[in-house]
Amino acid sequence: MHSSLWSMFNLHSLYLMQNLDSPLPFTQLLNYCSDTKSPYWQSAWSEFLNRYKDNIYRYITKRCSSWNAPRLKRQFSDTVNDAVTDVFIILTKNDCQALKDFRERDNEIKFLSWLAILCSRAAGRYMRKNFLPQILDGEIEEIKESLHSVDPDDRWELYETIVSTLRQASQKERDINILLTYTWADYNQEMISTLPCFQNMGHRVVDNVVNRLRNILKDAQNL
Amino acid sequence: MQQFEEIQASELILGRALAYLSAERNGISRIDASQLSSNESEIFGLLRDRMKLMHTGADFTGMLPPGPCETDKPYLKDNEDIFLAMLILASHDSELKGECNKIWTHLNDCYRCFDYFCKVMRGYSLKTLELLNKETNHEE
Repeated sequence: MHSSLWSMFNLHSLYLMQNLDSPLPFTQLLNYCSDTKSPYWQSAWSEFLNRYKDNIYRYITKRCSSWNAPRLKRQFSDTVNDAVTDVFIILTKNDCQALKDFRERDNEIKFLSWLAILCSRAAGRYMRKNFLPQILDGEIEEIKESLHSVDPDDRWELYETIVSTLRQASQKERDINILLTYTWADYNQEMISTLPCFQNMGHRVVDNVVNRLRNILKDAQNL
Repeated sequence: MQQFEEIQASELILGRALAYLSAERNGISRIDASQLSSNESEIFGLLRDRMKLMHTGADFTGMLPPGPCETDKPYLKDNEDIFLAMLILASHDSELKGECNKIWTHLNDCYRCFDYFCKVMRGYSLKTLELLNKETNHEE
């Protein structure tokens, strides 16, 4: 997937590149990259890659490193490459609308901050989509450990993903809360049964609820 | 409420004070305030006084915001009465189910409130288990 990105930039763009002032001023580079009809579009993107590729890889690597999914370490470089590709898809889709929407066109520092946020969100989305099923596949203690090691920003979004997936599967609010209290907050069954709203709860309810909801999440993420 | 905020040293202490209150309410244990730490004792006293003013927990669960809290401060952090409401509701089984559903829904909606709730209730559940064990050993 990564090589297809580079194939966008052909000899023609290299020829055009010679006709550009190099390096391009930041505003001009951004304007050429945002304008798909510009004759300099491809060569401008080639320069964009030269200038910002390292930053993008650094932002993505940092975000992906914060996850502790069991199989992530073995697939780390593929994961980073795929998330980087997602970033370029976001930047170029809909006639480069994301770049067109960036307003501070004369401020490269602000652009880099914007790019860092975009990369972080893209990597977070990629990780949630691809590694939540892997996290859920482990033993319950591994799941707890994995959830605790996730970056705080991802934790929040992961929490909302879990709740929304379980609500779509018409699960009771009580059961969603049991799963989260058990796995996320690391309570054991005995502790949960002392909570005022969970009093009179039958024996083994926690085990049953946690296993059932975990399977629902795994199935939903594998769709 | 101001006084309450100043005294509250941590979520753990609030949780423990709630556990003492719950144990006393349910007749599990007679709480001797002099045996508590000074922070626990003051919060326990405040909670006990406050609870006497609350007739029904439902008045408070109805005030939970719909959806996640918008500000950086979770709603539960400013509204300890919700915790008291839960203790009151727990003693009225018939009312408990619907009201608890409001609480679960908000906690599922709002990560910050869930996080705060779990920190407070960790102290509550551990202390409750300790008091229950003490009571069981005492009976034996």
